[in-house]
Amino acid sequence: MKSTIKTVSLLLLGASLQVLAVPYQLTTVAEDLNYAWSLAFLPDNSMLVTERTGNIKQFTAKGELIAEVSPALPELYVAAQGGLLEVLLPDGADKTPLVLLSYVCGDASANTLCLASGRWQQQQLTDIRQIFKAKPYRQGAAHYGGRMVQLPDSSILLTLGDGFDYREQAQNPANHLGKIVRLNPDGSIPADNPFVLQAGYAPEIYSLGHRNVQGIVWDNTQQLIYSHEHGPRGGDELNIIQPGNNYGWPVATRGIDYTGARISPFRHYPGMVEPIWHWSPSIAPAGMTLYQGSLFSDWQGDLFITALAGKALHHLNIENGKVVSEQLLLTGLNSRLRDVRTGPDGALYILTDGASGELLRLTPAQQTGG
Amino acid sequence: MQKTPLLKSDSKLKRLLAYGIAVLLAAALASIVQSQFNLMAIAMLVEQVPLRDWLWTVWFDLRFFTPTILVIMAPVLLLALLAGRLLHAITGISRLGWATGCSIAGLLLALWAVNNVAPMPTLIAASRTMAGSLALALCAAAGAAIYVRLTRSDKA
Repeated sequence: MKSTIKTVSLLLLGASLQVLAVPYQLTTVAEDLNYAWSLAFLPDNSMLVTERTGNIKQFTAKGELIAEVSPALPELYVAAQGGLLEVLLPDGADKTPLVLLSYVCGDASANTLCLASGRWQQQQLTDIRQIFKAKPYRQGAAHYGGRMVQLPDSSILLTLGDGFDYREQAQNPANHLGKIVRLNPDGSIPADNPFVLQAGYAPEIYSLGHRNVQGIVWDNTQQLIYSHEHGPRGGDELNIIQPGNNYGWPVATRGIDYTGARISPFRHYPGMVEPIWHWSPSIAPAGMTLYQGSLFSDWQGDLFITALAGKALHHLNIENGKVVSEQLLLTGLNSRLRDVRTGPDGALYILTDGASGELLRLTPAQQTGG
Repeated sequence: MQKTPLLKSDSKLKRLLAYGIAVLLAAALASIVQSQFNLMAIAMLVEQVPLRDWLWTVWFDLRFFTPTILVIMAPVLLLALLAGRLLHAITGISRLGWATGCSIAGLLLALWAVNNVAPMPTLIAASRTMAGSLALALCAAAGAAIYVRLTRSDKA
């Protein structure tokens, strides 16, 4: 195996932290990933990794590349923050698993987030269909959201960004900018969506008032949905998502514009839900997993969040839906971290961002890598 | 009746001082203008923005946004004033007209350039619309007019 092993002793950071040090080791599973964005585990424990530039790579659990495809996604548009984003396997037990892919579609003057489905069989993606297209089109290539999670009722939550220049649209219930939408795996609209019968509302909307949500997980124990979103300069948020709620952007925010200007005079506003945790200065949260694996008993039910600007893996100790402490891991890598997942083996899998990104596996120190 | 120049000396120091005053006032004006665009956008989403919050936001932006626009405004005004002087010398047409015209064009060009270089689609939120861009450009024109006014006895 071509891995390098980096053993790291995790130290307590700051007097406020109540988490005991957990020694871990970091193994490089795969290298030379071109802006890796997301990963998902197949039933045989192999992994699908998306590259924003349009490729899907399949790796064995040991990190051997066994397939590389460039799926013919309808209208795929790769630029800046746009391209192939999330991969989700809604029903993992199938021999030809359904694959959902979020990606940016359109062109420079008119683009948006799309969702496609396909079947992964014989190391190819077949039967590709576009099943959702967020409305409206916008210009620019920023703030697409693009993360997904499957809920216990099989429906899918898909996160959408505000398009940067269109931030006020996050409060407009008639479109998908700055929303989280709920869809069935075939792209149809669940009949029990919160606004499905309300005039003037896009029926796919699950929640609104978001800036750029790039992490969303379902906590089956607490029956909660956590999501995090990028703030502007400051004001990154961790929220508990409930159907029909308004999360405030851009009216209620702790962030200011990159120029130093205030976006809004309000940090809070009646009727708008406040985050349960926030980061100022911004860490640029880009991925998230809820740890329920078998390798780290102390980390059960905790959130792990990758940070691009923060260049760290943020460990949030969660108790009863509340953050009780925060700990920074992997700061020594000095790498922008794009995504984190819990593997079927109980390890944490982390994607670094960049033209030569890596897939890393984090396991307890006493175990040998890979 | 002969008008009294505000700055009688045409020394380089006086022109530098006039330029500094013009840039600072133009940047402060631009900050106030962009605050109005941001606040109006928020006001359309809520029932009311209290006057105290409105004024506090303007004051916040004067302290924290002005340095950003200053970085853009200073070179734009410098180049626009030089170009205006040159064009005035060539054409004999109003120095004020050329200076304000050049500064409007210069700031619009600078906003376009900044938005093409910056990682985000639009750096300054007010410039998301043509109305906002023009309003900011008029602030540059106001700065140019202040400079011309302060140095109008200059022969150089």
